[in-house]
Amino acid sequence: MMKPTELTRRALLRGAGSGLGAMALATILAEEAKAAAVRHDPTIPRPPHHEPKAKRVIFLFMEGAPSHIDLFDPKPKLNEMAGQPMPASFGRPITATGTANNTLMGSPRQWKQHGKAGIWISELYPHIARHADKLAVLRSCQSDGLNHASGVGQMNTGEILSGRPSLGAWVTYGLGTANRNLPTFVSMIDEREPFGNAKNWGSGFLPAVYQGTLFRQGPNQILNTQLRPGVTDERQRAQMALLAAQNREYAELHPDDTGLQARLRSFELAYELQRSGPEAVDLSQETEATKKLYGLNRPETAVFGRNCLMGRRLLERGVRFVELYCGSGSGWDAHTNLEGNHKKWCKALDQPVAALLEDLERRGMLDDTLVIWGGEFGRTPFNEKGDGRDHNPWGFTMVFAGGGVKGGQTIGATDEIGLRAVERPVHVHDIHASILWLLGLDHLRLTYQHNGRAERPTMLGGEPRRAARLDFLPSLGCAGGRRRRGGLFQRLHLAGEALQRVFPRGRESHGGGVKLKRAQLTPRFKQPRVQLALHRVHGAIHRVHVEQPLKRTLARRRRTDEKVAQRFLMQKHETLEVRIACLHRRRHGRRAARAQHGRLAPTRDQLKLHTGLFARVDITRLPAAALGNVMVGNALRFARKQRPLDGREQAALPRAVRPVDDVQRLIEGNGYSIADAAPMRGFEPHQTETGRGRHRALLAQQPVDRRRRVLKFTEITVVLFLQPRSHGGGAVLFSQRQPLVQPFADFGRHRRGAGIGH
Amino acid sequence: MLAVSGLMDPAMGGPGVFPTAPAGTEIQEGRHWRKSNGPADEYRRSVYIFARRLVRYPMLESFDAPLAFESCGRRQETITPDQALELMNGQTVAGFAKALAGRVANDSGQTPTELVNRAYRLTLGRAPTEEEAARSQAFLGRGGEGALEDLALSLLGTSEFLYID
Repeated sequence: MMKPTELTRRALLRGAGSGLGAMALATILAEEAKAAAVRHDPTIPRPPHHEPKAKRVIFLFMEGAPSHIDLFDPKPKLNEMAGQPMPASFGRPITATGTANNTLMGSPRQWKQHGKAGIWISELYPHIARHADKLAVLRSCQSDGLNHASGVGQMNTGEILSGRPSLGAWVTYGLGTANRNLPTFVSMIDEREPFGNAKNWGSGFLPAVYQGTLFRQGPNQILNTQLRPGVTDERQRAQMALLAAQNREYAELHPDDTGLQARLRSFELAYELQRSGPEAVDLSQETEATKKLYGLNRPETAVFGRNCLMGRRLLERGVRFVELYCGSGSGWDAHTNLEGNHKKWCKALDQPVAALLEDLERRGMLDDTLVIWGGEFGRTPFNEKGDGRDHNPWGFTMVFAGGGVKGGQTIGATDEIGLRAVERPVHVHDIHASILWLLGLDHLRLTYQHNGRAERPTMLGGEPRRAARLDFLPSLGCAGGRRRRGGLFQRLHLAGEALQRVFPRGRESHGGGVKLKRAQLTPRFKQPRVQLALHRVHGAIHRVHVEQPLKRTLARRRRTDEKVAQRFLMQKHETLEVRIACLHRRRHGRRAARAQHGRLAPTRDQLKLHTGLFARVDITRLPAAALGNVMVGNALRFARKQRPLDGREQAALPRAVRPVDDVQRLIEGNGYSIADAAPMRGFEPHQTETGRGRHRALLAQQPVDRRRRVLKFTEITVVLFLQPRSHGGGAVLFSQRQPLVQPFADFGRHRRGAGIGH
Repeated sequence: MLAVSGLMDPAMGGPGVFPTAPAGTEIQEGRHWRKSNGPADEYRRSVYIFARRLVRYPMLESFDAPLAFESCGRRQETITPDQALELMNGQTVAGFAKALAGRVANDSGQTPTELVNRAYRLTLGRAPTEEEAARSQAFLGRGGEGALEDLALSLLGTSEFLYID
């Protein structure tokens, strides 16, 4: 917005006195305002990081999750196997309603290839199919949330938990506004409130001014845009001027509170919305032909058609990010009667969406307007209650068109039954990175300093290039940053980032954990031969960019690797959960840390905010070098076998492998107490002789006030905490799965998450 | 707002109340909502407003009341134009402003100074600064219909009133 709040006050005052409109005055003052504006107006337009392909986005959010295998991803094999249980080789997932043992359900759809490119689209989308050559169908999307609130939340904010800014808010933050009388980010619903409601357009830790505005359904889209009876515009302006003056002074007294600026801005915007809002959504200005094109004349298409048309009007008027919910309140959630459900919703949106594409194209807007179709996840190939499908975040389809997207292509693939993405899997973070990239924003440089950390929209994930490999984005150079080599820190990064990023997402994923496939990590006791560049963003966020795909290297090595792996006693597939975070420890010397033993524990909130990655790793495949001097193999084995290793076993391990005590020493040596490693979730420890003995031994080493916690081992998870080098580098390695530390019964079994996690 | 406008019904407990919902919102009388019984429904504290599982009272919704069908780990705080619109044009808020204006006029002298002082005292709990007093008095001095009401409305919309410092 060009008007600084300071000048707006004047503008309003003067406007009120002289009879000039406030907006007109703002225009007069615009030039003068520019310099001050940067200082005062958080929504001033900002230059993008690179030449944008798209100037605006319209995200058609199919809330409740549409079935990809009934719309864009035909699976003949599934129809062949219909009625049979799913073979175990597909990997049985844990689903939202526990349907993984149900029989497979074929899709009764009639499929046809459309357009010159021959895009497969089912008969449910006859209108959209006409635009097949505009579409890039991305069939290998993955997300983490098993259920709607988390899924919708992640698709909008990148995180399954609440608290992070929505993508539209990031865009508003990154680019500022492109209009002066409408919001930059608008969400529109067609039915009830979407799951998670305000967090889907909220601004999280970003200043509140960047959040989206909800346009309601019905005649009163934005409530209260009508003046009260008897109130004239002049009278209201005078009142607003008084209010603005008062608020302005108050905001100046509290310069740190961004909310106050936002409040001021919200009044200005509201004032302007009174006029421009109703105008923008006033469809009476559209021709009958346009209305008919969008299906406003038919009851089944009228609702979403109206939203699409309003969306286009908003985009024309400089709104950057429009999100239209289709079936808001989980309309697409077809646990039963998929047939009826999808027919209804497909009908509701097919013609309007086709109309939108056509209309945008006709107006020359399609080239720089990114149109996205997708839900929070897809649906399972196995049935639920006979005629429905369960949630499927392991592989689903999203469709892109317009703004910089190469149309007429199908990218990625799910397995033969459509359960998991197997070819070029693309995570929500990658999709977000790609959308931002198209808008001219580099997701690595779009950061906001929060709690000592430069937060970015894609957390610690996201790779537009991964999407770029999908060819709907051109290749992208890796973001600026210093190269670093060597050092424990980098090696730890290797472990962490590699887990998350290099190796494709694995077969088993639930609740944020990702289990990687076997043999995806090289077990060589040295770094994998990939070229690495460590990026630092504002000294806080780090990432490793892997230049060379590991696939070939791995294939070559696999045979050797198998042998090496046998040197471990664990010949069976073991998994660990690895969680990696950048932690800012308070700067105490080691001695000070010791003196305050146990008191340096970061608070729960800090940890939560800093926790970046989750991955479940095959420990047998973990490069020892990546873990520095600490290998947890022994600890794990110890836990598995419930006994200490004998000498031969010990000898069979590489020198770097140390028993559990080393893990503990490492934790404490870094100023943390083992008691900080509180359980992540509920757990069912099974007590063993060894466990008890171990527990006693550990307890004896604890300060008295720690005795209320009991240590038990069943299975072990590694939690790595990385610290940036500026904070001493190094790593803290917690060894725990559910157990390690368990509160005494009287302490409350449910006192979860005192330390790590949530 | 209830408190400063003097309208608040301090009654505690009892069944939820159904204040009038503005037209055009998800709340529809008969379907989700009962007809308002006048002051007994309108002026109870908002904690007594009937909470439906799927729809929220619109004003509370724009001011971030959480959803009733999922657990709420942390209340969101948003600042949006529709909140501002509520404070500018909302019937409910206008009603409060009117009542506040009446209250101010009723229990203080009729000079602008006295009115302004009383209005500030009631809403912000302090006397106005000189600048504020001058500005507000000028505002009242210009007269016009509902000047005092508008002053009340402005004070109810100030950040100082809305936020707990």
